[in-house]
Amino acid sequence: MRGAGGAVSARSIGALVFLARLLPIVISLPTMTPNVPHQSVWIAGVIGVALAVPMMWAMAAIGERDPKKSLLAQSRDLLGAWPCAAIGIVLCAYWVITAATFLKAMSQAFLATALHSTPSLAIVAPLAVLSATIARRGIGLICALADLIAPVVMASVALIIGLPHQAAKLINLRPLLPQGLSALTAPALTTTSFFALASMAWMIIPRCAEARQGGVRRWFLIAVAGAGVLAVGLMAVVGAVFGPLSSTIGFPLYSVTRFISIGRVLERLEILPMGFWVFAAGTVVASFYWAAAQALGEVVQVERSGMFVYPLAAVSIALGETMFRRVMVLSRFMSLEGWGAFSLALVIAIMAAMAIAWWARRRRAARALVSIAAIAILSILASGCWDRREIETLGFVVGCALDTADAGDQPEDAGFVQVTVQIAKPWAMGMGERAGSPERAFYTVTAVGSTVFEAVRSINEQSTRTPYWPHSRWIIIGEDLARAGIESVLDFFVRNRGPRELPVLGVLDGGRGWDVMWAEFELERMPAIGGEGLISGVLRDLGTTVRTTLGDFLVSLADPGVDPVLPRGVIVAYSDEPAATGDLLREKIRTKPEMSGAGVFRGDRLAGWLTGVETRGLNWVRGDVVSAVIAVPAPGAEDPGDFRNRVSLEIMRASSQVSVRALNTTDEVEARVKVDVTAHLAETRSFVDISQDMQALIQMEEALADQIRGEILGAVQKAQSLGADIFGFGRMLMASDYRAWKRIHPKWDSVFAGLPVKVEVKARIDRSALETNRYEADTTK
Amino acid sequence: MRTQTSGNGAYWVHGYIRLYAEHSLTVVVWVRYRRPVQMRNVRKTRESNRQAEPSLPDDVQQRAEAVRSLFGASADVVVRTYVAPNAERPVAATFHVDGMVDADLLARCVTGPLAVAVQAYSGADCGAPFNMPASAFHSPDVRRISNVGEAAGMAIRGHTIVILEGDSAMLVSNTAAVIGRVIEEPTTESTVRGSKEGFVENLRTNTALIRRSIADPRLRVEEMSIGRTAHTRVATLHVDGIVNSMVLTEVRERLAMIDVDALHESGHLEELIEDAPYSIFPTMMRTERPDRAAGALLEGRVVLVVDGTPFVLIVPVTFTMFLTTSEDYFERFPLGTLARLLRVVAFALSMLLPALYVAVTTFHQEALPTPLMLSIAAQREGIPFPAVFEALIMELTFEVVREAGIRLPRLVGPAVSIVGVLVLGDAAIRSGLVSPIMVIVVAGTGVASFATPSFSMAIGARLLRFAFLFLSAALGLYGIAIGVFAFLAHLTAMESFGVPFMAPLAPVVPSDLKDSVVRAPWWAIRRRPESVRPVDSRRARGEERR
Repeated sequence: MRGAGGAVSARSIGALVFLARLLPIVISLPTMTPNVPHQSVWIAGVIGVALAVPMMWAMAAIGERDPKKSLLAQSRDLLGAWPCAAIGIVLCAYWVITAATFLKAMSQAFLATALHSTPSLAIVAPLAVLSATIARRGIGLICALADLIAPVVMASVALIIGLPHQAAKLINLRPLLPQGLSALTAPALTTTSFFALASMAWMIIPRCAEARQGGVRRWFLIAVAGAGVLAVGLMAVVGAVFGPLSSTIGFPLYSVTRFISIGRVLERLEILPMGFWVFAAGTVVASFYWAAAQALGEVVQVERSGMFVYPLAAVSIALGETMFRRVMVLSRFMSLEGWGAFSLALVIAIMAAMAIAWWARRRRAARALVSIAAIAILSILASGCWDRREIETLGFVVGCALDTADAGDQPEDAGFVQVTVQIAKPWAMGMGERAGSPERAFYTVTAVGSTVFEAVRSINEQSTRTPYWPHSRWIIIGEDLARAGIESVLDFFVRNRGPRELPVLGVLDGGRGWDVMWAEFELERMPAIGGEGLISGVLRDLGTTVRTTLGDFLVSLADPGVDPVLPRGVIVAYSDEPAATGDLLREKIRTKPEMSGAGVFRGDRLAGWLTGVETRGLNWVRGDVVSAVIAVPAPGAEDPGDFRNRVSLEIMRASSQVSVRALNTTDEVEARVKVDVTAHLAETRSFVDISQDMQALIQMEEALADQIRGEILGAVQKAQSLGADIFGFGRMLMASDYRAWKRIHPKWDSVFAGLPVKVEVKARIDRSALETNRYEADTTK
Repeated sequence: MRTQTSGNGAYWVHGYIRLYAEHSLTVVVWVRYRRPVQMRNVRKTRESNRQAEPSLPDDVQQRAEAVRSLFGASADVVVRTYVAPNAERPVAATFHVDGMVDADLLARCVTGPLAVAVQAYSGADCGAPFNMPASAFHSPDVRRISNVGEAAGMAIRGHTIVILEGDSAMLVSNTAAVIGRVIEEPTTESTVRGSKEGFVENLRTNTALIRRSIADPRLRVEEMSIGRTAHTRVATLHVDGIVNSMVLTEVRERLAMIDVDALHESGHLEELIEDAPYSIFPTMMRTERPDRAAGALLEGRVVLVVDGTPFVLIVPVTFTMFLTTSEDYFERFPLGTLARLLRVVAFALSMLLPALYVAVTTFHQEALPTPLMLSIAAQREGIPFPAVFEALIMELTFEVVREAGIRLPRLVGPAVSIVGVLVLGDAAIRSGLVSPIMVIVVAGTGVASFATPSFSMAIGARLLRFAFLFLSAALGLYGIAIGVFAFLAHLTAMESFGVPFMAPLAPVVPSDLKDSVVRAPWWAIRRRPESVRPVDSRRARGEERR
C-alpha cells in the first residue's frame, strides 16, 4: 500500500522547490540592490526569473535522464567513482551550509524582531532537531509536508504583497536603466542563482514515478513561475514602499508587512511572515538534510543513509553558529559570547548521542525514547523564557517629543538630546466597568542624553516601567532641534524593532516638543491619540496639513529629488481664566495644540513654514486633497471682496498629474501641473439661482479653478524661496528623463529656484447637495 | 494485553525485517508502528481446546452432565431431561442458559415439539433409540454440532442444545433473546436533520441496521470472536467490489493477531490494532450512527462492530473526517462547507488560544491594536500571577469542573457547573486573582473544543493545549510555530491502514478535495475517495448530470 512513505509525486517536488526558492527572497533582497537604482530592481528580478527557466529545465532534464538513478549514481556510471565522490561531497556540503544559512537567517529574523535576548541556539536547535527527525522519516513525509505548506506560504506571501501598503509610491517603480540593461546583470544572476537550491531535487527524482514521463520538468517550471511571480512582486512592493531605503532593510517581507494597515485593526500582521518562516524553513531544511544524507550515503556506498541525518544536522547548527555570527548588525544586541560555545557542545553531544543510539539500538521504542529525551533536554534548554515580559510591567509609550537639551541650564549638555515620552497608565484609561476614572491617563517623563538611546534608557531612572515603543503613535520635534537637523536622532527609531515606521511626525512652530506633551486635548484621554487624530482630521476635511510618517520622512530624506515636509503644530495658550464651564477634573488644562500648515525641510533641517493654504497648494500637486472647503465670490456679486456674497464649494474629488520635462538643447526644465477637481455647492450666503443660470455655475467653476491655481502657485513660490523641492519635481524629472537629471542634478537647486511651473486646473461643480436651488426670502416682507 | 512470545526470536526478527521493509515509513514521527500482537498464542490455545475435548458418552443423562459440568455449579444453566412414557432413562435433554433465551421461542420451537415427540415415542421397548431430525424443530436455525466446547459457547449466546439418545452429535437451535435497549437517538452524534437511529449494544441489531441502509448482497459481514475468555464477537463489514482488498487483508491480519482475554469495548480493539499506538490522536474513527457507517462502507472503508458497545469503528480514516458530521451532507452544501471551515478554526483555537494569549501578552505586545493592548494591560494590573501561570490555573480549573460535571447524575451536573463556572469564576475575578480577559480566553477555548465533532480528536487537542502553553511561555510565537509545525509533521506522518492520515491535504489528492474541509454538492462528488483506493471508484456516471 502506497502511503506517505511511498513514491512521491512530481507536484510535491515542485512544492519543495517553490518553498526553497521563496525562502531566500525574504532575506537576500537587500544584498542585490546596492548597485542598482531601486526603480530598476524589479526588472532585474524579471530577467533573473526568465533566466531561471532554461536553467531549471536543464536541471530537471539532467535529473530525469535516468529517472531510476539519482544524479550521483548517474555520475558514478558516467565518470567513475572518484568524481562521483567529489560531487557528492561538494553537494552535501552545499546543502548542509544552505540549511545552516536558512536556520540562522530565521533565527536572526526572530532575534531582531520578536525575541531580543533569547540565545540564537535556542531558536535554531529545536527547529533543526525537528527537521532532522522529519528528514529521518524519509522523503515521503517531507514531500507530503511540502504539499501541505506550500499553498499556505503562497497564500500568505501573496496576501502580504497584495494588501495595500501605506506609503507605497508607484513612481518608485518607474524604470531608470541608467546604463541600460548591463547594470542589471549582476542582480539578475543573483536572482537566478537561488534557483540552484532546486538541486536537492536530484536526489528525490529516483523516488518519483512521474519522472519517467517528464513530470518533474513541468512542475519545476510551475515552481519557477510561482516563486518568480512572488519574488518579483515582493521586489516591486519593497521598491515602492522603501524607495531609496530598500537596500538598507534587513528582512524585506517583515518590514513591508509593517506598512500594511487596514482600519487600525489589521495593522500588525508582521506575525504572519514569521509564522510561515518557521513552516517553510522547517520543511526545506528537512529536505536539505535528507538530500545531504542521501548524497553522503551514495558516496560511501551505504544503503541506509538515514543515519547521517542527525550528524549533518549537528554540523549545520555548528556552522550556523560559527560562520554566520556577524551576518547582521543587529546581532550586536545579543551578547552571547560563551553561551554559543557551551550550548553548541551540549547540542552536538545530544545529537551524537542520538546518532549513536540509532546505530546501536535496533529497537524502535528505544529510539523513540532517545528522541523524546533529546527533545526534553532541548526544551529545558529552551525554556529559559528569556524574552518573557508580563504586560503589566511595561510602560506603553504612546507619544514622544524630541528637543535639544536646554543648553541654558547645563552648558556641557550642548548637543544633547532631550526625550520626553508619554506613558499610558492603563488602569486610569477606564475601560469597561471602570470607565470614567477621573485620573489622568498618562504619565509624562523626560530625560536627556548624548544619544537618543541613552536618554531613553535614563527614563528608567524615573519610571518604574520600561518604556515599550511599538505602540507609540506620534513623534513631535521641537523647532530648535528641527533647525539643527533631525537625521541624527531618528536612527534610533528605525534601527530598533520597537517603534514602527508608522508613527506620525510633527514639528512644533515656536516651541519645544516638550510643551506638546503637557498640552491636553479635551476630547481625548491620550494626547498622543489626539495628536494623530487631529492631523488625520485636518487632512480629511481641510487639506491644510500633511501626514508624514517616520517611514515617509526617511524615504524622502534619502531621495535626491524631493525634500521632506512635516505637519506643523502650534501651542495655543488659553487665557489665564479658562472660559470652559465644565468641571475640569483632570489637571487644569492651560494649553491646547493645533495642527495647521507644514514645516519645510531642506535635507533634514527645518527651512521654513508653509501656511495652511500653502500646504493645501502642495497637497493639490501631490494629489493628497481628500476634501476641502473653498469659498469663492458668488457669481454676479457686485463686490467680490464682500464676504457676505460668498459661496462654499466642497471639494469631492481631486486628482493631479505632474510632468517635468527638460528641454533638449538647454538645461531648461519645465514643470506642468494638471489638477482635476470635482466639487459641489455646499453653501451660499447670497442667492444664486443655479437651476436657471448655467452661466453662474461656470463662473463659480472658474473662480474655483483660479483659487486653486493661486494656492498652488503660492506654494511653489514659497518652496522656491526656501529652496526646498517639496513637490518632488526632481524625482519626476529623474523618473521621466534620467540622463537629463544626471546632467542637471548638480545645479538642481538653482534650476528649481527658477523653475517655471505651469498650472492648469479643471474644476467642475456637479451637484448642489440636497437643494436644487436656494430658498429665496420673500423680499416683500 | 500486548504479549509477545519469548523464545520465538526467529519469527520476531523475520517479522521485524519484513515490517521494516513494508512499513518502515508508515508511522509517526517518534512513535513507530509495531504489529500490536502476535498470532501464535491464539492458534495454540484453540488447538489445545480441541485436543482436550472429551469424547461423548452414550447416555443422555451423562452427556447432559458433561455439558453442564463445563459451567460448574452455575445457577443460571438449566438442564431439562425428557423421559419417554415407558422408559426409565431420559431419552432427550435440552440445555440452555436462563436469561439468554427467549422463553416463548424456546417453548414454541424446541421444547414444545421435543416434548410432543418424546411423548409419542414408543421405541424404547424395541431398543430403537429416540431420535428426531433437525427439520422437526420449528426454530429457523438448527445446527448439528459435535464439539461440546463449541456448543457450550453457543449456549452462552442464547442457543439451546438438544441432546438426543439416537444422535451422537448435538442439535443447537437458536433461541436467543434480544437483550438490550431499544434503538434510540445517538447521544454523542445527534443531528438536527437526518436519521435518529443509533447503534445499540447488540451486535446483530447493529449489523442489521447497516444492512438496512445498504440493500445489496455485496455487503459482507464476517464475524469472529476475540478474547480467550470472553469470546467477544466482532463483525467486519465491507462492500465487496468497492473495498480495496489490501485494506481488507490488513484488517483481517491485524484482527487475527489479537490475543487478549476479552474485548471490553471498541476502544479496546482500537488500541490493539491502530497504526499509531502512542499518538494522542486516533487513527480509527468511531461512530454511533448507522448512516455514517453505511456512508463509510460505500466509500470503500471497512466497518468493525464489536458486541456490547454502540460505538462502531471505521477504518481507514483521514484527519478531515474527524471534523465532519453526517449533517454536513444533509444540509445545503454551502452550509456544510462553512460549518467545516468553522470547525477547523475551532479545532485550532481549542489547541492554541491560551498559548496565543500568553505569547501575545508576554512576548509580542506590539501585535495587538493599542486600545486592546491597553485594555488587557489594565485588566492584568494587580494580578499576582504571571500570565502563563494564570492560564494554567484557569485551564486546570476548567478541566476539573468539566470532569466533575460529566460523572455526576444529571440532576447535580448543572449545579456543579454553576458553582464551578459562575461562582468560582466570578469570585476569582472579583478578588483579583484572575483577570477577566483570561476567563474569556478559557471560556472561548472550552467552547471551541466542544465544536469538534469527534470527542477523541478533541481530547487530543485538549492535551496538546498544555504543551502549546509551555512552548509559548518559553519562546513566544516562535515556540507555537515550532509546535504547530511538529503537530503537522506528526499528523502527516501517520497512516491509517495504509492511507495517509492527512490525505487529501498532504499528500494532495486533488479529486478528494471536494469532500474534505469543504463539501462540494452531491452531484459534483462522482468518485469515491481516491485515498482509500477503492476497486470501483465511480460513484455516479458523469454523463448523467450533463
